[in-house]
Amino acid sequence: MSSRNLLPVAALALSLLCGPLGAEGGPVYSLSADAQAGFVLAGGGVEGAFDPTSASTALAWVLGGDLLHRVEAPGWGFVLSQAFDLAGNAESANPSLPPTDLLVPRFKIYEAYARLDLGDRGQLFFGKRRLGLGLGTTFAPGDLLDPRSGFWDQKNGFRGLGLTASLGSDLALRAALGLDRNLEAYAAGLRAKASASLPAKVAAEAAYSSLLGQAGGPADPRLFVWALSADWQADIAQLAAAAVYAPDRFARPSLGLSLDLDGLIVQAEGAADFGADPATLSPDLFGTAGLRTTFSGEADSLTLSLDYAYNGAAGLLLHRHYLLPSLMYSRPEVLDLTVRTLVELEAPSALLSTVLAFHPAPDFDLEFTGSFCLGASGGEFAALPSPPTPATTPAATALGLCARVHF
Amino acid sequence: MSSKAAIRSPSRPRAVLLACLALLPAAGLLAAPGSAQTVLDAVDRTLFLESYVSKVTMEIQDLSGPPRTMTFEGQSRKDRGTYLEILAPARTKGTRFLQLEGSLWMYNPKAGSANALRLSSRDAFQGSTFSNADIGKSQFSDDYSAVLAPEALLEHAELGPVPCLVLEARAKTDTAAYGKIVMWVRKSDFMPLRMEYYAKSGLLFKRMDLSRIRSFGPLTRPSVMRMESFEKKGTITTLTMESIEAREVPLSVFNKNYLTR
Repeated sequence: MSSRNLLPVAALALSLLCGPLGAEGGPVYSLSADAQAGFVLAGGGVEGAFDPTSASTALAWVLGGDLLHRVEAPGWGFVLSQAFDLAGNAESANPSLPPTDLLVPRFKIYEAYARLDLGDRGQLFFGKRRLGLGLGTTFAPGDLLDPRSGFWDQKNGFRGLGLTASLGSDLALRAALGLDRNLEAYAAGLRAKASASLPAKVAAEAAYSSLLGQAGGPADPRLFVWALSADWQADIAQLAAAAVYAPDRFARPSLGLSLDLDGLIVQAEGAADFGADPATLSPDLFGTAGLRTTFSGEADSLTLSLDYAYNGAAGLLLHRHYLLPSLMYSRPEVLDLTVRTLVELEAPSALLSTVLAFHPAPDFDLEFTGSFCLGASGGEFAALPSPPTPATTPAATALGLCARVHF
Repeated sequence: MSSKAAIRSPSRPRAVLLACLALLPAAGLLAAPGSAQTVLDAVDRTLFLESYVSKVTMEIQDLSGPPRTMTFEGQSRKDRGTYLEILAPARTKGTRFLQLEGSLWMYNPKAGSANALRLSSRDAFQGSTFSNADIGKSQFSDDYSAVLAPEALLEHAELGPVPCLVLEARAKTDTAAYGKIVMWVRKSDFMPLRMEYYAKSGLLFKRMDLSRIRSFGPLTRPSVMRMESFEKKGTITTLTMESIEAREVPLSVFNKNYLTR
């Protein structure tokens, strides 16, 4: 179901579920929202330096926002997290690009799920939801159920079921069943039935076969993704164990440890991917190790972190060895500066991301952003992996300015 | 240290007062009268309920500009920890914190990451003069053992001169956030009015003044806590208790699953 179709349903559900808002013991609705307007310039591919006046430099307008709806009630809850974009297609400096459809709203749903509380010990979730497995402050090497969609981008969420169990304060257990591929198969079958000249059943089976590799249907359990995790903490230590399994595709257990050593947070996490054969003796290995600390001044704070990531098989990352230094400086209600770098160590290249946000008024931000590719032209980060504009050539630099209001 | 050894040459009025206090069932002072631990327990009972929900406004004044205000809704249990959620300002609305023994977790549903971030207990809470460890504190007697110092007359900004017992609470665990806390406790009802926080090195680096004593249902306690930092000069954080209500908070609140629900 598309985002546009989901929205009226979700809005209706919210209004019905909330009833008399704020009534004693009844559902309580809350909304947290941001609206933003600005632009991004992207250009300076491998051919040359960034030049805002160049015809190859593209301009994208930023006009949209984020909405987080929440309904909380005794025994249940509902969350709808969505982004809307009014900028439409980006307007480019290149006049040959197609016209824009500015102010036509487009929605993206990150989360839309219902929660049922199972007494005082557990919770059951239905719908689309973000789920973090393992420690995962930068990359969670064991998380294949809902992996990061970009190096620093937010997670997209997975569609399916979730179950949590809380055993005291120290132990949190979670299980999840991902149904994304089942829903994709169902949608593919519907499309095939609607468009093919073949009989509907034959067309659907062909679509399933194409998706699955052999005949099957949307309920085929081979499309499931299962996940289990246990998170245990005692005093300064946190231990996180997880496993993700998809029949005929992968089995990936992971283990992570985090320690708070008097203000220095040290953590390490590793995973082994056994692929389609859980008995294999040579799994692909993944791991991260790092540390983080915060220095507090009279009216500001500085957080520094450094992580190493080992990538045993090409995926989101193409090589094996990476460093992730980052810096966050905060002067509350004045400014925040975040600088993050992903350095590929074999054919050195790096992706540098900066965000400088000024807070000139309460709940108002003026934000300058920059993304830069550094290093050799043949390196992994010779061009921005997710260009913010529909530039016709790869961009190595993106600069943005945005005003944001919080509600 | 025994309770008798903790009090040197008690004066007659004090002995009478302590004897009377021992008879006050409302105060719940069941331990030996005059015991430093008794007074510390009374302070704990005044400031912290066994299980409660509260709404607190925090105003932070520092050198960076005009004061900034945050409002929290909290749920606490003495034997578990504290859960907080920011209600205002809008920029950070919805951010949640879970303080458990030895650790603090923060989760921002708007950040996009599905994992809670672990914070160090020694760091400042949201740029305030309170540390992360202060936020989840549910009783002093867990981490500190008390002795009585000579009584003093406290010049209280709101109440004027107040005869006080002076309590020195010294860290008895490695996880205690401070080396020592000196408390000025009103003699008449064991109401805490001032606390001075010392680092483990012995350096005095924070002072909290408590005022505007008011009733929240059956509970009477200071509703304003003003913490001044001597380490971060010019930094003052004022917590104002808007409401507090004794309530059985479910155990499931004090688990990371609740934080990311």
